[in-house]
Amino acid sequence: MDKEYIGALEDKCIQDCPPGCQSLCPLHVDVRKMLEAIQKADFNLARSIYERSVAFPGILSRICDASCRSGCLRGDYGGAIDVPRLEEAAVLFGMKKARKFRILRKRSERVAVVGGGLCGMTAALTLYEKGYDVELFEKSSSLGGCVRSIVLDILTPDIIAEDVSVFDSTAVSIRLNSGRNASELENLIESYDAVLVAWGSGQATRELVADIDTFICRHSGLFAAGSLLRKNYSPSTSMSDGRRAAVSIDRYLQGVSLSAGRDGELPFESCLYTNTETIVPSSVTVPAEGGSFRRDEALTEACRCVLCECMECVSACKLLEHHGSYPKRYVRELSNSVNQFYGVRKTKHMLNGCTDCGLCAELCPNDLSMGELCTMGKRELVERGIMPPAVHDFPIQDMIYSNSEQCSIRIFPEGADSVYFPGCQMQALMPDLLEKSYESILQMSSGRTGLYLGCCGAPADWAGRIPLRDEIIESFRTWWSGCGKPRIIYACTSCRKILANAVDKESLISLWEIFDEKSSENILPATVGEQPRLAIADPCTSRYLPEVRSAARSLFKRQGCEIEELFYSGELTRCCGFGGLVSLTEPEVGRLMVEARINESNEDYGLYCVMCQDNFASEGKSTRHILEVLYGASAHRKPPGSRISYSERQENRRRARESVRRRWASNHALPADDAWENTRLLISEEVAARVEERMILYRDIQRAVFEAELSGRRILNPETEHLIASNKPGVVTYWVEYSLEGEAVRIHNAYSHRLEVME
Amino acid sequence: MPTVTGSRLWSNYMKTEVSNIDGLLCEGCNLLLEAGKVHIRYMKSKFPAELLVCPGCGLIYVPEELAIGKMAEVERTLEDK
Ligand code: SF4
Ligand code: SF4
Ligand code: SF4
Ligand SMILES: [Zn+2]
Repeated sequence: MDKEYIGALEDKCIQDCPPGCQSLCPLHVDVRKMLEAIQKADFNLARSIYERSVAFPGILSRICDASCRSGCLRGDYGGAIDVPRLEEAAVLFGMKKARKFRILRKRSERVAVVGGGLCGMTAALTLYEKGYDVELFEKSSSLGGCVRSIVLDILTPDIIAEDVSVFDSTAVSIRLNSGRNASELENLIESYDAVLVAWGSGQATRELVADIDTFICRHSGLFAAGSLLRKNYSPSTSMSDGRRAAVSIDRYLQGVSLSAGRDGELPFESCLYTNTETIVPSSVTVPAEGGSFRRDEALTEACRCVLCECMECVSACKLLEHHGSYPKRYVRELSNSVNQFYGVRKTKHMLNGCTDCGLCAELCPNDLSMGELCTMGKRELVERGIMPPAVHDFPIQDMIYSNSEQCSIRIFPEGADSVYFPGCQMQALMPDLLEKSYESILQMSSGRTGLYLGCCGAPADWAGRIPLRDEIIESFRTWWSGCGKPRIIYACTSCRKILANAVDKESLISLWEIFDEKSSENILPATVGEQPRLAIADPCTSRYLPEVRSAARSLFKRQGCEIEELFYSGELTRCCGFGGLVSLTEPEVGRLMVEARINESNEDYGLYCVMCQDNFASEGKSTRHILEVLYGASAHRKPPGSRISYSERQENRRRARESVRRRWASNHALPADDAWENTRLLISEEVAARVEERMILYRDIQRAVFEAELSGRRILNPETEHLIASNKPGVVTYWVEYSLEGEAVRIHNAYSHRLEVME
Repeated sequence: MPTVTGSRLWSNYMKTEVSNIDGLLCEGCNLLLEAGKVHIRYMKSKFPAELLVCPGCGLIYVPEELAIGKMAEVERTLEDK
């Protein structure tokens, strides 16, 4: 996987970006996390989150100018969150823990900080933590600076004293009543390795002209920061300045660049996206008494916080949710493991769990497509032989059979200008309705439409087997070109997606469009009886086919159905879990996808994709396929909650092919059956269910028995008098326990394994 | 991640278990199957194992418990590697 592509993809996901409150806070307090803690009434945690960014919590929470509020998403929905009052609540109701200073490396240099206000105090603490010998000079008789002149009932001397007492547990030496004038400064510069002047506003001098980003002055070793450099007083900015000046001094003393890599220290505009559709406006909580929140008031106000985040794709996609993180992380993990084969285990499950439905890209504010990435990764693993072939063997073998002489037929009558491509799944699941729809098409086109029974190659595409897919498409394309490139009438939008790789898009038209166009011609059956109310579930491959979606709706309506829209519909439709073969290869995720989809509405679903129908109905959802609304239920329909077995599907395909041949192409030869296909099986329901669950087809059983009987390579269990045969037609080895009953074969058991056993 | 070798995964499947299955007959040779050395291969792993084999023609037998038990487990582990 290309590094640049991966990097660009990673950058697209902004889920990691801090919300507006945090990004605009000069100290970048993790407001969201703090408010989440208060929402859970965990004031202790809230306080400790606040104190991670704020060294003097008691002071700042009372007087903060709260620039976070201008970035708060709530601003447009009843008013920005009252963050400072909640910070005060965190300090009031959260337990105070003595601050522990962890000095990683003691340094020999000495630094003087002049000015005991918020800026100087913060700088002194930061430098002390970085290991320096720090002396803090304050011209008055106590620390605190100009905060001392702030209205008493907001900021009592007690609060200041408590915050300032943090210095008691440090080795910072505090020199009160000193550091008053310029001459003293000269001496300090002489005797310390670096000096920071952090005076209040209006005290700037010529020497103290400093670079506004790094705080360094012209005189080497001299720094100036804080209100003296600023027009407006902002306590949070003073503290931020103190911290940033300390970082500059540290860098200066270590002899590294003062400015490199310091993005994000200053307030910045957040790039986080948050969906606001469901936000209900609410007004800011006002404290009942005095200026502070009670606990319950704090809780109420904190609960107004939206806990801004993106997660648009994750909340819609069961795969992304199932793996517990979000694309920024997934992109890195996936590319690392595909490139370095590290942790491929988890990756395979991720790649095989993606239906490539495209919803994530549609929802993402930056169009990040996990589907594209997963498809790419899957193909790469297949190409390099790291994807176990057995994972996709079953659907691939099924596809090969769909395209075999037994199931596939290509009919193109003289003078035809179109060909009907119903798809292998309709042939397997509702072969009777396939024939009925073909009858209607023939009538509509006065017989000038051919028929192609076979698979488009989607399973190969989904399995990442590109050469195989292309072989199938090419075979279709050659035939289609030979017919003079007729218009292709497709029923399945997944077929359309695959076929669009091979033919020009103008040749492709949906069956529903044809039916809708000709609906006035009285060829389609009229409505009989009352039609149900249906919620239309668009297949994911119809996402970019608005004409197909509207034709389908119009047909439902024509038949008298009242229709309803699902939340995930149209361009935002969700996959049923069949795409990417997910239902087969990652059944757990597949089931989650089906469940999520069928629970979107209690109404019966109106469908125009056979696979959606199969997936939803077998999980118990009441559904109507559009062809059923037109022609009545298929004779092959199972009651909701049960499924048509894989063997039945294959049998349906074979029979449909034969029926079509008899009705419309009797000049076509009968397929040359393999001799073993005539082996007649007797299977009890119990054994049939077991065999289906193990994904063993009757055809596999027939072949194993037939070959054992032919070659005599079989085992006898004298105790049960059962015979045992095995056969390995592809990746899988099948075992069958059987006995002969006249001409037929009684099957007692069958199982399989993928390990290859040899002498 | 340590590489898991197939044979280590396999080693729990003991000789005794193999010879527990008694009296199976190779119809072609009319001989009783006996415990014998075989090889097992999957993906990029190959390792020796012991299974019931016909001493005449080498026909190998894999019982159901083994196929759906130990073997399935080894398959999953090797596939997840
Ligand atoms: S709603 Fe909450 S998380 Fe979002 S910006 Fe406002 S305070 Fe921050
Ligand atoms: S939609 Fe998903 S990928 Fe896109 S920014 Fe949001 S979390 Fe990231
Ligand atoms: S299943 Fe669909 S929404 Fe989920 S990651 Fe894949 S393409 Fe995106
Ligand atoms: Zn033998």
